[in-house]
Amino acid sequence: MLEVRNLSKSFAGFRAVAEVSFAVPAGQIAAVIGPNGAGKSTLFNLITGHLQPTAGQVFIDGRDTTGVPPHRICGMGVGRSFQRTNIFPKLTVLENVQAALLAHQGRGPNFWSRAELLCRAEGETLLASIGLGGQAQAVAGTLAYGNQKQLELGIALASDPKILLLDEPTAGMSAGETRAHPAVHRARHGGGVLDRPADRGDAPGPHHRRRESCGGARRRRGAARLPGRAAMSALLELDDVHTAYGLSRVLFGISLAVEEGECVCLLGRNGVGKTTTMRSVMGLTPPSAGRVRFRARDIAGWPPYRIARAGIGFVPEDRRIFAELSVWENLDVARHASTRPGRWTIEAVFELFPVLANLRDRQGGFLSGGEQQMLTIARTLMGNPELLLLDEPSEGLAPLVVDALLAKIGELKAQGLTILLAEQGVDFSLALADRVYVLEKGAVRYTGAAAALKSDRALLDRLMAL
Amino acid sequence: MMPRAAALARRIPWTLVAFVAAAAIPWLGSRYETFLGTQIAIDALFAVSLNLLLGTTGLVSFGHVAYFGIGSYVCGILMKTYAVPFTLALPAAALGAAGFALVFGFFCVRLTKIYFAMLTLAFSQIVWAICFKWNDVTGGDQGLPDVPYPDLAWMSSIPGLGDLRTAEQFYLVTLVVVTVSLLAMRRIIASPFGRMLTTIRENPERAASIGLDVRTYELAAFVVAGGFAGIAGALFGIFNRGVFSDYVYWPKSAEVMIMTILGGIEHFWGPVVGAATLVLLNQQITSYTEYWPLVLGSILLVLLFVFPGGIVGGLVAGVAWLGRRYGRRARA
Repeated sequence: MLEVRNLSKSFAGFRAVAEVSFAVPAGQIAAVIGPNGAGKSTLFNLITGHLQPTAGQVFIDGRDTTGVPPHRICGMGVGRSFQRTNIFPKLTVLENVQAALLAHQGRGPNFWSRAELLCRAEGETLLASIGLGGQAQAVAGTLAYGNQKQLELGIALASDPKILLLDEPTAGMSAGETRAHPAVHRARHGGGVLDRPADRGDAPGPHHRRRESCGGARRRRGAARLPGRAAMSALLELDDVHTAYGLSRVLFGISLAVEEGECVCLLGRNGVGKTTTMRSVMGLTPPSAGRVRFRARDIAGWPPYRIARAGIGFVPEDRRIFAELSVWENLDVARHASTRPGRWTIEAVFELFPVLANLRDRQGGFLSGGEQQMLTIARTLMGNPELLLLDEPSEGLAPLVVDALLAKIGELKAQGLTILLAEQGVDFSLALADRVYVLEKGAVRYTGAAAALKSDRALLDRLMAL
Repeated sequence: MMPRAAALARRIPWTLVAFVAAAAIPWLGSRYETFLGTQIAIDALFAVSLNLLLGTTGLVSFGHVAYFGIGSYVCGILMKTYAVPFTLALPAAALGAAGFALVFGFFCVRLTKIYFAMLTLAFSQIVWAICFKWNDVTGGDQGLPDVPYPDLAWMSSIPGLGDLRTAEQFYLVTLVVVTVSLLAMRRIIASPFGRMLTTIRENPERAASIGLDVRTYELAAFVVAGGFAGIAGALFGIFNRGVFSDYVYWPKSAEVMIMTILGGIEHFWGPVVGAATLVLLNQQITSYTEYWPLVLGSILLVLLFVFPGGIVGGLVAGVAWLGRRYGRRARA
């Protein structure tokens, strides 16, 4: 079905993929595993024609497809999802899959029919099968990250692929979502699936079947404040913060506090408002109501650069490194932009992340996911923040890299840096956090010490199940 | 009441209403107003054709005037030099412009972003230079004066139309051609082809991965947009009773881009509103002051800051805001 022979790819003298050969017969699921930076994404891009190999060949169904452009490879029955979500953000969810269906059926050159009426039922069925049936009319760009990933898969499935390439398909998905992953169904219907989950435990098929009780969705809003905590003046304090993206409201009155030197974790599934909470603090999506206090000053409504200069550093989920600049230049830019005196210099962050020191002249765009994550943290540290906001740092990273990252963040915490962490990875967050806020549907559902949750696994399962 | 009013407003065929209102101008308005109406209609077509690239496909063309000008010259040369009837010269202008768009576009779509924009500009300047120098065919810097009106004698036999002057009859012809062209473009944008263009605007990498040959689709959009620009150009040449090299010169590319962005690129009718606004503002302000560009610049500045989605984008946001406000009060 799919065969790769001696495939190699070099970028500017650095070998990303070297002499890779393998074959995947029809109906089989193969997983490409390896730590970040091993060349998994590059391999995928070589197979789908997004990159041209330096040497070697790719065969699909026995035909040599080396150097064939992506759209023709798609036409041969290869569907793919991307590591970073790749959807059509301004179209509705239904329009996204409709477009893919139309393209697959070769109806693109039709200048006359009304596109919205075509492939409608098919699109709706497909959306229902990937669990997005209720959101068909939502604008795709407003979906939560995990839902966008699901949609991305839907777009790939619309081409009715014989071979499905999934690049870190469960990155950013909860355990429940992973279990219901459509790729599993797909595989059972006889399509070949080439999968590259970084987390071995998530390879579709043998899932860790964690039973979750879904009943009793009682909400405990407001009951969240810890006695005694509220009275103290915290470093960061959110008071009844409401935030919306245009018409779609995401936060419904978030209140939380972060004390100096503390590591607090926002825990919750996709789409509960973790990222939005951070964006509200940073001023990237200013809250429509409520107060955000940093060092007792109300910073709600301040522009992001002012908030950054006041001492809050934000490490976004999607990393946003400067792809064209070298590692050193990425850090240098941050050094010049910083107005806060402090101990962080380029040498100091290289000491914290020796990996980066070795890569100082490599372009940011050629770093692996894990290296990019470290670079983003390092770049944020250059601004000498008092409070570090970390949005899903472990996302899409291999277990080994996650462990390394955990150690580094632990080091920062030990040095007295205050950290607000957003995570879905329960183990990751409980290993670091002093206190935890569990979010659900844009509100705080539970607050407590991390230790309490660690010891009460049943409570944790119940909180994370919904 | 508000939702009912909204439902009622949706049921009114606004396109038809606007068409009838525009068609009544020769009877209700002055000769000057008919003149303005013709200009608005032609500019509206030109701007919507640009928006097929700008708003729908996400391609920024700084050289769209080339196809407007080519349409103008093809129609003018055929009608004046070879006495070809308008009914043949107009489609020939569209085909001529589309043909050149095919050739130039073939190279342009191989580049992206600012390089694409620069190449379109370069091609339009080449076309201008040829039109400006090729005296035997284009009349060079003298242009082609006295392009004849189409033979509209048939209109005189229709009751009610016979009393109109030729310029007014030509206005009606223009209005019909523009309306049909606009409806065709609207249909194209809503078609599967149009949807594919939208996916390319949104995410070209992903579009390729659902099986679209991005370059070919971009080229097709370029050709369609060029063809409609050619129709606008053909009408403009007859309307101005002559074809001149100014019609292919780059400031006209800038002007049509201003119209499009002013009206709003995210809505189909945005460029139409933009064209009407710019023509009327121009006419109003030049009658008061000679510093028209200064005033226009200031107005554009304000509009772009207040309505980043253009005039139509601003109106739509305003109506949505009113609806929400009213809806909330109704629920309370």
